[in-house]
Amino acid sequence: MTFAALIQVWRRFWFDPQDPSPVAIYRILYGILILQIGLVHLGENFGQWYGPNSVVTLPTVIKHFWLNEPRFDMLLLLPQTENAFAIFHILFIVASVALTVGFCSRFSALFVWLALLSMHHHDPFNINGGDAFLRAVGPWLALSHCGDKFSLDAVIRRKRGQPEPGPSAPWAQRMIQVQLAIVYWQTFCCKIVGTQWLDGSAIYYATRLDDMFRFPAPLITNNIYLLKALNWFTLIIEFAGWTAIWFKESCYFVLIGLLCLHLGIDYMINLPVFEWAFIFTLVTFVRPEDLNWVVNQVARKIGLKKIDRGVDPSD
Amino acid sequence: MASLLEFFKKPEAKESGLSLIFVVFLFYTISWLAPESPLRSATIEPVKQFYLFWGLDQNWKLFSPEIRKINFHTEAILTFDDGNRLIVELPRMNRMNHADRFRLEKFRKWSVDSLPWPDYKEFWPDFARYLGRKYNCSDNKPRSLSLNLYYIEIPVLDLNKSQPLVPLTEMPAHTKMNTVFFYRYKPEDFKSGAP
Repeated sequence: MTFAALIQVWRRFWFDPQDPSPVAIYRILYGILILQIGLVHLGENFGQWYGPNSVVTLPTVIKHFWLNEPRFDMLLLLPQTENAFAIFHILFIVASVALTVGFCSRFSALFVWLALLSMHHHDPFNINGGDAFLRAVGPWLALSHCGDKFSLDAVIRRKRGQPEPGPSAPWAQRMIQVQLAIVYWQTFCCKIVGTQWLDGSAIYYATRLDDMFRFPAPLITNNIYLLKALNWFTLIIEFAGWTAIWFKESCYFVLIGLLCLHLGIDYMINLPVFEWAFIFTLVTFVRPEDLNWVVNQVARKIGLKKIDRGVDPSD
Repeated sequence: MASLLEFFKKPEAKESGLSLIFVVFLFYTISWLAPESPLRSATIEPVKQFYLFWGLDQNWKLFSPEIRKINFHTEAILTFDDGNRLIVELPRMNRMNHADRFRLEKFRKWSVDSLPWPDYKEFWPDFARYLGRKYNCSDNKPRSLSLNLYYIEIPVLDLNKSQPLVPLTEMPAHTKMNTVFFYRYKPEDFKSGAP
């Protein structure tokens, strides 16, 4: 390996033009999750979390969480009235709908990210790891070509007779992938310095937390051998999530393993948003030609014409 | 100057600029996530304020390094001027239906992972005043609040013995209790707009 070859690998990874289907599909899934947060998890309680009479008050947040230093928070710019905060909540929901359908995609993604950032700074005590992950990938989604396909933006462009955008440098999508790999890297490294994950008892304790319990799976959770097997599977697949996932030959095996991990946790442990934030991001690792094939199969099944003619392998 | 501008219009220049940003960003992000040490503190110091301002700070210690070994719930007990007491039980997810557990995730996160713990202690007076305002009656005001943590240890798993595992449905009740915070109300606490 020479330096020149290394630079070529770097350039190919970040800048070789690629069909934007994966990041466009990711935009839709990300938008649905944001919409879920806005409508279901915040819903009628938005004012209770962020309004002028919230449980966690702004002066205390500024003093003890911001440590009297500046933080980005659009909510500070609003008149401190219940109505102003309700309007902000509605705007957040409108932006998440716009992001899902791909209308002004980049601007919608930018607004959604800044709104998430503001809410997380305004009240940092009600967000789980999934919320934090959505915030972390938000800026990269806003910088990506997420509106080039499967979007209202694309339909409008076609109606206006403007040319279809071709493949583009996928660096923003790559940064989303790298962010996911970073998550698996840190969580793996933190797990192996503890005792529970190394002695095989971690899943036993995780499945005994009564505040997180969701659906029962007694055949698994009451069997020590299966619990230990799941413990080791978690460590192995999280290790693969930042290593083997980057190789073409092993990528899909790792994706299936991670999908099983997250679906298993989602079945047994009640952590809305958390697991799906990671499951949806796995889409960005699927090769565009495979993703387009799936999309076209689904489109055919539901009676739509092929969405992407150019890359359907059956053509 | 013109030739410099021409250079920056070239795709190679754009790629070089972006590559520099990626390298810097990844270097500081990975440093941020590294274990606490003087080297880590010194490394992230130049970007600390920028990262915190834009929410680029991260932490992915998910279910690690240790999973907690207790189950617990929190109650606030309000004592009124006439001596009556009101128990306010924070949402207990295991007593809710599936739809409410899903819907009220933010309450779980706040009342389980934040509220009863010392890291949150600066926010306890806010919480007391919030409840005080909510349950205030002009002829019978709340006099004090105590925030109680009820807990129990999860039965220890002995990996060296073949013993039947205690299923989740048979976990012991939260029979131990700590008062983590006590607050005596002041007249100004009930005014609208009080912190």
